[in-house]
Amino acid sequence: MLKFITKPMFQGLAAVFAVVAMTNIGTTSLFMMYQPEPPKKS
Amino acid sequence: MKEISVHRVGQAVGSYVANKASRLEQAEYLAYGAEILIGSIFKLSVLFSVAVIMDIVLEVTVLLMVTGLVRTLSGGAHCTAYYRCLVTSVLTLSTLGYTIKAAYSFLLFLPESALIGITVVSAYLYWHYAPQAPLNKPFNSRKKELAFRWYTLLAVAVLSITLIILGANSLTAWTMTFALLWQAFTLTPVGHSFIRFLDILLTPNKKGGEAEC
Repeated sequence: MLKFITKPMFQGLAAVFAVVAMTNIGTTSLFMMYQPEPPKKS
Repeated sequence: MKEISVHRVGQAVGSYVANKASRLEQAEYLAYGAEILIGSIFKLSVLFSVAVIMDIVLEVTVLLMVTGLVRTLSGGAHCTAYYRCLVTSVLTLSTLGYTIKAAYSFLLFLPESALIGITVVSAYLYWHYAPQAPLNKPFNSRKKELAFRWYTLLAVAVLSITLIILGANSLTAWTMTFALLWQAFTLTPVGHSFIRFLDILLTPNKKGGEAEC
């Protein structure tokens, strides 16, 4: 059961991280005075 | 012992989630998202803990919403490390919130023209200095820069009209006024110098500045 729900849960979390990274939400407003370094495009 | 930082925690969480979700090729990207999210949650927790202790939750909430919205569009001065940003943000927002609350009984006696006057000064600063992209993410076209300029001015106009409608006897209106003024200040050369000064002050080896940002 745990194994069954683990992957969708992490996929959901990965989707949240991807949306935050894509939209940069927080880097200018919530972070206010600090910009994390975005990953270099390869 | 390895140094603990939001960057390291974000990298670790992002890599772990990428591994578990079978998206290893996106590990760096997910780590970046995780770093933003974890850093934001931690910063908001610290900020609102201080606000609750100082009994300035309303003031800090309004300050954060106004500066957050406008800063997203206009940009502004930056610190060079997460913890320095955390200290600077908490220090400035809680000081502003406490000062507004303490001075409210005095601000009540000021005429509407004082509120409008400060708003006009802020609007002029936005007109003159916005937008400003961070050094690590410059505008990639003049069109994008102009779009951010007009979005900033539109947001400032809407907020200014709202605070003028609320009037000089409203605590929220005065908080919005000082939020707009503070955010405009961080766009000016003096504002950049002030943030750089705090950045250097909070740097153990005194090598602050915006070059690494």
